[in-house]
Amino acid sequence: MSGQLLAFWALSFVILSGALYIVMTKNIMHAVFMHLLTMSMIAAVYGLLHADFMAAMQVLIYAGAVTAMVVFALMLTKSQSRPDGAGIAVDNQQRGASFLTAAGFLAVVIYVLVPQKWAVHEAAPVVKSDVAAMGAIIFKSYILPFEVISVILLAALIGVIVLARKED
Amino acid sequence: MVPLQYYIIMSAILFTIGIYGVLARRNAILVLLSVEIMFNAVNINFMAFSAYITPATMVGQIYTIFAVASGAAEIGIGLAIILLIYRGRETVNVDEVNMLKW
Amino acid sequence: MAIALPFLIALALVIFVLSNIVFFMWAEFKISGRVADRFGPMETGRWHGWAQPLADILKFLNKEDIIPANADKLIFRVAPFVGFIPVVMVLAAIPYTNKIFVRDFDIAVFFVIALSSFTFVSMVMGGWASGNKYSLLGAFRAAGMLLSYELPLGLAIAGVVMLSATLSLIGIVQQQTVWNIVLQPIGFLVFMVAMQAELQRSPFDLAVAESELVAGYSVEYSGMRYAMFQLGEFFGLWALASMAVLLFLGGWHGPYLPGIVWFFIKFYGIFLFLAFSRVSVPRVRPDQLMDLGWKILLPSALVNIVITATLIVLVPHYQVPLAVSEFVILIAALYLMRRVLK
Repeated sequence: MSGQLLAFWALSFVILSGALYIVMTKNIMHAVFMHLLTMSMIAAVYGLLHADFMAAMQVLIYAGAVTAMVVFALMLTKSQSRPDGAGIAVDNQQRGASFLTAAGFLAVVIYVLVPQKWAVHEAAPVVKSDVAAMGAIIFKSYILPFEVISVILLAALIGVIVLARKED
Repeated sequence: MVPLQYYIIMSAILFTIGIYGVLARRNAILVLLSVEIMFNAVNINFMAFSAYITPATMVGQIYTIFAVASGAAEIGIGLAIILLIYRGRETVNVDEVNMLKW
Repeated sequence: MAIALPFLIALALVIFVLSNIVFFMWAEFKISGRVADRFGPMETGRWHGWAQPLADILKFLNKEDIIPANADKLIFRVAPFVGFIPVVMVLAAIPYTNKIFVRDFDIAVFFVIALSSFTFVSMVMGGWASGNKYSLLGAFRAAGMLLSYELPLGLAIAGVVMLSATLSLIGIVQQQTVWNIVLQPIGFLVFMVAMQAELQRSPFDLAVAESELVAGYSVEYSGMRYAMFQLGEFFGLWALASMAVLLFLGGWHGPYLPGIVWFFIKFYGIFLFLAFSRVSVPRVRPDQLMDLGWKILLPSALVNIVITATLIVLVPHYQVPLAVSEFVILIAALYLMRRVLK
């Protein structure tokens, strides 16, 4: 077993069990911190795919922004009464139905995906992704989506301010 | 070398876990976290395809950048809406928010 | 033997940084003492109390590791590591000269910024898990500061990255025929202020604020876990002060002396600035902190980016116009601010 494969198994184990913990736990704060761990491990998967820039971006966004925002929202709302998970229930009554739906979805996806033959590039996956080349591609071929994303972010920024402002 | 299939199956399982979370959770913040899990499952797929099928043009990576940017916008807006709902109705449980007008 | 070599290098690097950190601690004791018209430590180790930091570390090692009954045990235990390990990892990305470096990442700048945001996560974890209202308030403040100061810090660096067209720290230093502080004075000022907030040093130590919150997120910590928070802060100082030197002050460039000497001259210059600003500026209030971050630093960093980008695109030899326009705008802004504050 090669080192990469070993790393992949270890990372998958941490990611999937972390995700399961997030959707099962009764303690919201634990879910938030586990979310951060899972996202960092996904960044490590990006590193395994030789995309260092995306790995750093993933860590920056999830460690730097999303976790802080979610923690803020948790502290400003009354989500649960005590740290041990007692208090307001965090799950609804549809756990069984949700599980069946999710399992059905997974079965369909695996049934469709596993027999597929992908046209894997012969140089893959050892090609190191180059930040400068990526910048050139974004600003030459994908300039319109890039501008649209910037408009979306601006709209989100203004929208959040309008929504969260107290009316006086 | 890790086969491409492994990445795809891993991200499919991750996406499934996210679906379960979105359906079974009652607390709006936990629903948002589950949506983030689904987002990231999709991103893993994009990244894996990018590395294995189009390593030179990096299409998947660029899609991931856009997906991450819209994901960040989504979670910001989502949390603002949660705060707004909490201010009006004193709850963040999505099953209690069942009226269009208060 | 060949396998052991990287570990030996890593060990040597960590020991070197740690010995410097011990010196930082002593120098800060002495400087804050002198500013407050005291001598600072004088007894330990006979000569001007040079062994005081070592004695402190020994004291931390001996203390009992207390975990409060109210605490969330697992997160309380893990939090110091979450803050400490990433800032030590940052050391791998920092070059000292173009020969002495651990690894030349092509995304080094991004790597450092991404990993240093874990410091705040550890504060939030520690503060929340302690089960104490003061530490929870400290965690709250830490989360707010993370959101408001990460952005100006990143944007201040963006100007430098645009000038040098690379994210590699070695590449950025090699591009600087003129130090970037001349071309980017606004970016440098924003970076220096945001850096102090990122390091949680006074005047921005709101999350620990001992006169208001006892000790903020670290109230309940004792012994080695508390020492890890402190050490992490000093490792962060090492990382960000090196970043300031590499990004804005020309790294190891300088006449006559060898590169490594120049690097550390500049490095200790930044350290002295930080030490003096710690003892001479009063702590800001939370609302002032938000005002400074969102209304002054963020717009300044954006103006810096707009000017830099416009001149790079429009003017073929942009160095002189860039430096002149940045200085003019900086002085005009400072003058206006003085008028408004009056």
